[in-house]
Amino acid sequence: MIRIENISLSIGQREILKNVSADLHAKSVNIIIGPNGAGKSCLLDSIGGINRNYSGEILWNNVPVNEIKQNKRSTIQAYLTQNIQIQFPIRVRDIISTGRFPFYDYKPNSIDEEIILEAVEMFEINHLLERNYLTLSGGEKQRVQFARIFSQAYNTEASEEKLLILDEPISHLDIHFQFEFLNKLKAFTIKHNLISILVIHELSLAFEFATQLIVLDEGRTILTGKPKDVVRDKLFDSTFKISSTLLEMEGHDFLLIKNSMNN
Amino acid sequence: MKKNSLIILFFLASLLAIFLSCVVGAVHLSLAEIFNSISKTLFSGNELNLHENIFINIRFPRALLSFVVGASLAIGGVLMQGLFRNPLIEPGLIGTSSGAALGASFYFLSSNILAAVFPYWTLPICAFIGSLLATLSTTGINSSNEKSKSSTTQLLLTGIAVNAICMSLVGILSFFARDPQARSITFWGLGSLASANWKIVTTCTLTLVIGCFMAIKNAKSIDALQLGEKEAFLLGIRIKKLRISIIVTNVILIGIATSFVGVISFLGLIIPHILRGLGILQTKQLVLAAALLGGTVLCLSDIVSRIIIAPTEIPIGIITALLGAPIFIYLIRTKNEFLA
Repeated sequence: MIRIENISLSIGQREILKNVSADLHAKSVNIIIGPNGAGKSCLLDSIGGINRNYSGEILWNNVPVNEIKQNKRSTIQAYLTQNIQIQFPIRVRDIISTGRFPFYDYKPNSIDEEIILEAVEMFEINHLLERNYLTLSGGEKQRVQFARIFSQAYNTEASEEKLLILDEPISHLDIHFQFEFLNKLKAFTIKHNLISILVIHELSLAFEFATQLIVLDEGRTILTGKPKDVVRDKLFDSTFKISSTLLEMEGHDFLLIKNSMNN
Repeated sequence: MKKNSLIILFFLASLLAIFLSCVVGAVHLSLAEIFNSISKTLFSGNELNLHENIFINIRFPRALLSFVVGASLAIGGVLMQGLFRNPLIEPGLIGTSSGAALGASFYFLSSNILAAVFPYWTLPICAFIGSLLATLSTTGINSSNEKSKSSTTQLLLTGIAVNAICMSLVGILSFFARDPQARSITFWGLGSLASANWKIVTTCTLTLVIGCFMAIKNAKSIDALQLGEKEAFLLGIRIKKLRISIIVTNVILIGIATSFVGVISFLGLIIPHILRGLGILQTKQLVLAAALLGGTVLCLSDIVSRIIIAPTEIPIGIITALLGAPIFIYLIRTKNEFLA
């Protein structure tokens, strides 16, 4: 379990995070939602070890995360950042292999190869392996990055939990792949004993897939909890400046969002 | 074509280029003369005739030096382009080459005094000190500032500024130099392999082997770095350590080679691009292939520089740029999945 305890972070004069707290459990999908500029990416960077000068604590099974050495940490944590920019031509196969870099020195062993192959098949990108990454479409690039990050997050010792962080992973995908990805993420999280935490902007998908929703606004945690409890709170609508309704159909809840500009 | 067969092809081409460089020139040497001189030197110790002497003491070391220097420049290009994640980088860009040019210019202006200080290899020592000082200034200036310390882009910009300072100082020195000295400064800036001898070949081969080893050791980290610095950090790469290691390797390769033969431009820039166009994309393979192709190209360029208006030699830097640039323009215009 990861416990985020009252973390605050300022960059320059700007206070980005203010007393953020949350508990993230193994085998759970934690989704951070919030308006633009709420500090979502900054929170992920703090959990992932990019931002380290916050006050408060982030504890992973009672150990401060930043006490874990980076080379160890990259074997128990995988973080897919936003907007990966690559300058030189590079084969898709070689991009995905970097996901296993923390696990070997010079040559990947057969387990690494199997993991990479499994990730490739999971995202159906076998036909892209020999292609130049720079010539792929936005959605294809994203699926290649999924295969890379899932190879890194792949857990060979199910007794130990691992951490998977994803910053806006589905923003370049069409609706079919968005659903498909979130379904795969959920299954992968449970199978590999992961603590998954991600930022997405699609509120109804966040509601559908989250084990826990974290609503962030102006650096504060406004709401945390089960999706149903979060969206029923009146702070949910006011944070996003929307009016939402829960609709129950065939025993399933849907989050509907009304166009509040027309009121 | 498979990557491994390409590397074998480059290896064969490099042997051929070295062989051609040995036989072609103002005096044509036969195979028999080459064999005789090798067997005499290695085994019998009999006295060499003129042609055999030309081979063993002039042509052969020169051919090897051209190969070794070309290999060093090309590996430097692979490393620095990889570090800065920028296709426009020449390996000497952060002051390594221009510093050497500045050191060499000092030598040409005050050779008598400096020769008293370093009686042996005066010119290369001056050039290398210049190269080292300029590179150290770049990294020193960059890391003296909290904001730029962790930024590779700022390091590059600092390097370009140091480069400009060194080149303008070279300009001032050649402005005040007398004519023959000014000519020496100019020609040194265009490179020459005429000074080749076995001691220089041995030194440069040693630095090439060390540089190659360090490059291959860092190859995986450089591959990871191509995803971005943040992503490489998340993969457990220690960026600062990697940056220092690459810059040190680059000074060993480029600084020392340049100190002996002068500034040879363009080669370190284009060889990595040509190889990427051929589908060699992983750093480890790029390093090996760049060594072979860079060496071959410089060896062939040296042959051209010697025979094009024989017996006069054209500075080799002119050949690499004058022949290399049109070929490069042609290549980047071809349709190719891997050429950026």
